[in-house]
This record gives sequence, structure tokens and C-alpha cells, in this order.
Amino acid sequence: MEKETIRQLRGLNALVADAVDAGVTRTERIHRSIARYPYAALTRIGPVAAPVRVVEYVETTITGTVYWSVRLVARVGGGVVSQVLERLDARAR
Amino acid sequence: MDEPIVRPDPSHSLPERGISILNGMIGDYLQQRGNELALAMSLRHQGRPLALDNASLTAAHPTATRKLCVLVHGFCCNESVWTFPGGARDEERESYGTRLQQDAGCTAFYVRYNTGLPIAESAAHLDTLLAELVAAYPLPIEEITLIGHSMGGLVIRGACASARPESAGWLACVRRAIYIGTPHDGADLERFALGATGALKAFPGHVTQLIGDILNLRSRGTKDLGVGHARSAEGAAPWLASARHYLLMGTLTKNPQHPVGRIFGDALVRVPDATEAPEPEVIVFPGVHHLALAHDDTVYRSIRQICAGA
Repeated sequence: MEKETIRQLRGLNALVADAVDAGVTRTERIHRSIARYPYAALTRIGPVAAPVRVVEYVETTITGTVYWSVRLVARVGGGVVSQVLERLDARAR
Repeated sequence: MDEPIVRPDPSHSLPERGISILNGMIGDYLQQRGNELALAMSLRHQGRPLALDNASLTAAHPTATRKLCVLVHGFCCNESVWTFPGGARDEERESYGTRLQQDAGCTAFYVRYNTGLPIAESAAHLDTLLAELVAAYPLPIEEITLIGHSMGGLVIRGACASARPESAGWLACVRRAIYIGTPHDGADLERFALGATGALKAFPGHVTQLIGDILNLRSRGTKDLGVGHARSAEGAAPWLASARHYLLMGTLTKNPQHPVGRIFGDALVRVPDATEAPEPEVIVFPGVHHLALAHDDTVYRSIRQICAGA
């Protein structure tokens, strides 16, 4: 593989990592702001307010973990690709 | 003796074109992040970077002449935009540069750059590049013709206007500048994008805000196209007084006076209104759209004629 190609693949890898991170962060923010509306409405109803808060907490924790996992997988994947490219680059020298 | 390995010109390949498009869209971001996909301005020979030293220039152009022409591509393109259609093999491919070399004895140099950077920044890079080229060139230079397509014309105009005192060498050699489909008065499409971004962001909805944000991700280079010249406190860059200037513009319609041709121009750039000033001279090519202006026989004939003039 040509050094130029390896350089381009490294750039692409970094760009994909940036895009996933920015995309997931933005999606999470929108998701949270939209999900807040029904919870806010339901917590105004006295008898269900307490369980709704629990459900909201659980849902927020689960979705937060999912978004965090997506970021983690993307970073680990990006790191692995980066290592492979470094080795290819060293071999190409 | 073994035959030298001839590597194909990669500038026409999908990855290289894709990288140029990416640079146009988000090139300023790529540069800011230190991403290796960000293009640095360079001269290209057969699709590969050309080192600016005497030996490399002599090897690339063994029959170099005292007349130079420098071709600067437009937004989201690379130097492959200058190639005429047809010719599957590299040696069969023709461009304005190769034809000028044959017909007018001009030694052609192709610039590749990150079209997502602000036009003023690209202009400063071009100034440096041309100063280095003139310093390393193996022969005394008689004249330089600058040819820019679309944004490339704005970069040329900006480089001529903002050249540093140490750039006097190349600037004094510039006899003519040819701007092909260059939006000196700004591109309507970018103005539309600017308006759409503002409208979307004015709505309180999450989705409209998101679309507005995505639209606003476009590069500084793209945004500069809406203005049409290198942004500066002084406004539009002046025309270089010591050179002749030519605007080669296309229209979608065969009749340039047709309302569609007048409104949409070559699809991206409109023909400027007639002025009484002798410069720049405007030449219109009816029925030639924006991208085709960079590799069209009738346009070339005009360029050839311009280069044959004083």
C-alpha cells in the first residue's frame, strides 16, 4: 500500500471518529430535549409524578449508557484501525 | 535495461476527487483538526506533488519555456477538471495546459489546494507558491498567464492584490489573467444557502435547528463564494494594473439573452452586467455550463487567442 494511501486512510479514520462523536452527542442532546416534554407533562399529575420520575431516571440512564457505548465502540474501533495503519506505514518505510 | 515504471495519474481517481470534494465542504475544519485529508496547496505534475526545486522542475518539464501558465481549479475540484473528455490513458488526456504547451509554447503548471479555506488564505498560499516557483524555475521567465476556474479565479485575483513585496518577481511577469466562470460578484447559490440557514435557525424546532446547523457546517471557502472576493476591510480585490484581465462566462441557454440564461447564468454563476470599463473584457459562451467551461473547445480557442495577443 502506498504511503499516500495510508495517510489518506488515517485522515479518513480520524474524520469518521470525529463524525461519530459529534453525531452521537448531537443526537443524544436532541433525544433528551424531546423526551423531556412527556415526562414534564406527566410529573404535573400528582399521583403519577413519583413513578414517572423513576421511569425518567431509568430511561435517561439506559439511553445515556447506550450513547456512551456507541462512542466507546467507535473510539476502540478507530484506535484499532489507527494501530493497523501505523504498522502498515512502518512496513511501507 | 528495465523500463521505468509509469504510474497512472491519480487525480482522476474516485478517492482523489472525493478528497477534493471533502476539502471543499469542510476543508477549514480538516485543517483546524490537523486531519491528514486536508490538502496543502501544491503544484501537481501528472497528479503528484511537484517539488519546487530546479532538478524536479527540469525533470517534469524537460522542454521548459520562458512562458508559463498556471491553472488554478475551482471549488471542490482538483486539477482533473481541466481534462477534456475522452482519452482513457494518461498520455491521451488533453487539457488547456497541454494544448497551450503545444500551440503557444507555454509551460503549464497545475495547482491543487484546499478549496474549503477562506479565499484570502488560499490567495496568500498561491502568492508564496508562485514566488517559490519563479525562484526555482530553470529559465528566466518572460511572461506568466494565470488561468482560474470558478473559485480559482478569485484566488488568482486575491493573490495578485495581496502579494507581498518579495513576490514582485512573479507579479511583474503576469501579463494576463483569465477568469473562467468566476463569481466576482458572488454566487447566488451560496447566498441562498446563507438565507436558508438563517431561516432554519430562526425556527425554534429541534429538527429545523439541526438542519440549519448541518447547513452551516459548510466551509469558510464556500461562504466566501457568496461575497465573491477575498474578504477584507478594503472590499473587493483590485485588478492587477500591469496585466490584462478576461472574464470567460457560460450560459445554460444557447441564447445568452434568454431569461433562463440571464437568471441562472452557467448554472452557478451569472454573466456580469455590461460595464463601460475596458477591463475586464467579458466573453460569453452560450450553452456551456459551469463545469464544462474548464474543458471546452470553444473556450480553449478563446484562451489560445488571448494568449497569442500582446
